[in-house]
Amino acid sequence: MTNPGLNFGLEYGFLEKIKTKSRTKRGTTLTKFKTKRLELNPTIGFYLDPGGHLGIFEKANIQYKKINNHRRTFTVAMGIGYYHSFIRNVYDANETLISENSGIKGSGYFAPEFKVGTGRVKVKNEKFKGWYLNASSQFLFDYNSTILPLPALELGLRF
Amino acid sequence: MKNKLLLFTSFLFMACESLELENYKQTIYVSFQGADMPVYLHGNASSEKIIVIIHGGPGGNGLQYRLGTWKDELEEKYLMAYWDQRGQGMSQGKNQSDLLTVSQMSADLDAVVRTLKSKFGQEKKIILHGHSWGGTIGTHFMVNPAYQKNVAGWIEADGAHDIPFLNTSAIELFEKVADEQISLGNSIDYWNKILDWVPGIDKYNISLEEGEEINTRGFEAEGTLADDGVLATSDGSLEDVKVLLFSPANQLSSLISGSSANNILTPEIETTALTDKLYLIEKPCLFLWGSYDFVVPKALGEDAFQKVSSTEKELIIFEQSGHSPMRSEPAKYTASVVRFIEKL
Repeated sequence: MTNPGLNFGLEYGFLEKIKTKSRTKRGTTLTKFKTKRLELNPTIGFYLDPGGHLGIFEKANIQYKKINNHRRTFTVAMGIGYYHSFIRNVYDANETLISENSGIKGSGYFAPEFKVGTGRVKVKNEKFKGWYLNASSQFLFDYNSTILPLPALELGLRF
Repeated sequence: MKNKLLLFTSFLFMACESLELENYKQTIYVSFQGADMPVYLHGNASSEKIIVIIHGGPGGNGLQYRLGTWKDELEEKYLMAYWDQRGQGMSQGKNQSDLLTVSQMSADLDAVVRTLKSKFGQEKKIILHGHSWGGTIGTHFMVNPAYQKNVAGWIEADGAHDIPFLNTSAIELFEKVADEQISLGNSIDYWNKILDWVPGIDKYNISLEEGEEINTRGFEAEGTLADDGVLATSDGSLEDVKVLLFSPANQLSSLISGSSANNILTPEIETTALTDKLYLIEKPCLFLWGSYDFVVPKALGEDAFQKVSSTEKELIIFEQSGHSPMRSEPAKYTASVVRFIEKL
């Protein structure tokens, strides 16, 4: 039911709005930050179904990220993508002949994505700049006779 | 680049294969007219016989037939080829809607048969085993002499080779069994409701919606008979959960692709009637049917047994079974299959 995979991506912010709210309490001023960002989020990755096929995908999302005062993040992203499956041990058949295809074969599909996620960003000079957990789904168009969702859970680190 | 990718994928998939002949395990793909269809090979590849499993549905997948114990002895003795049909299971391809037809799938099955012969040797004997909707494709294949010549035998298990006849027979079976069960005092309310429903259907002019209702009520009726102890229960086990969880057939993909294929194929299926062509079947045949199969009543098996031209043919009725005797009476089922195949 589940297959392991790896995903690499970039988050490039191109629009940012920071809201600050200051409050003075017993002579101390507390400042709260709320950040809203729009980011470009291109990713590339693969997953492996050991019994069947290898899936490779490329995605280009626009991501809306909200960071609260505790550096918790909430993201929603959507964008376009492409998915290609690779299979092996393929036998090409025509009306009369069978030939073993010694290479790899597969099909490519237009595959837009939608994802939501949460996580945390760190501000100090630490090894990782944060982590995230996303629930996403690509939608493979013209897959057989339908649109096939390809749900995924992504647990990741920000460098 | 392509070679590197090939090496990489080969390495990753290697662990999932066993090419040891007596314990063969490999997934191959048959690429034919726009579809890449997986065929999962399990069993004894040193055997001279290969059983091709044609799954039910439309919308099922080949590996569903690895559930239960019925296949254990068959995989020990023969090589089993569990095929995912076009647009179903883990088959892949773009824009398949126009190619989802009974005759295309029959041609696909021919490509699978020719591929297996090409891979394992032309001398191998291929036996087809079609269950339910698999019986539609299998029969369509068998009534084509050009296809039929490539196989050694045909096993039809509760196969839907004539839907108008199926619907008529199902209505008659509902009436008969309802009377029988009421007289035995079993689930009287349920069977009375069936008797109220039946007269509202003109069994010689059944609509698409009524056909679907008959199918749904058929499974329901079998459930009621199982609850009352009339039918043997399915031999499900924890092993089945393991098979499903670790199966290369992703159940979600299979379900979504399969439902779409089912919707596209249903209008054609509801008018498919192959009874008049059954005389074209000359190869040895085995018909296996559940006595209480409301989904594809045994009348179809009895009729097919009479009408095929084969000189070697056998009909076996499973008295404690409904639509899937391989799951409810697995020992008897497997023994019948082995007996038939050993004679080929």
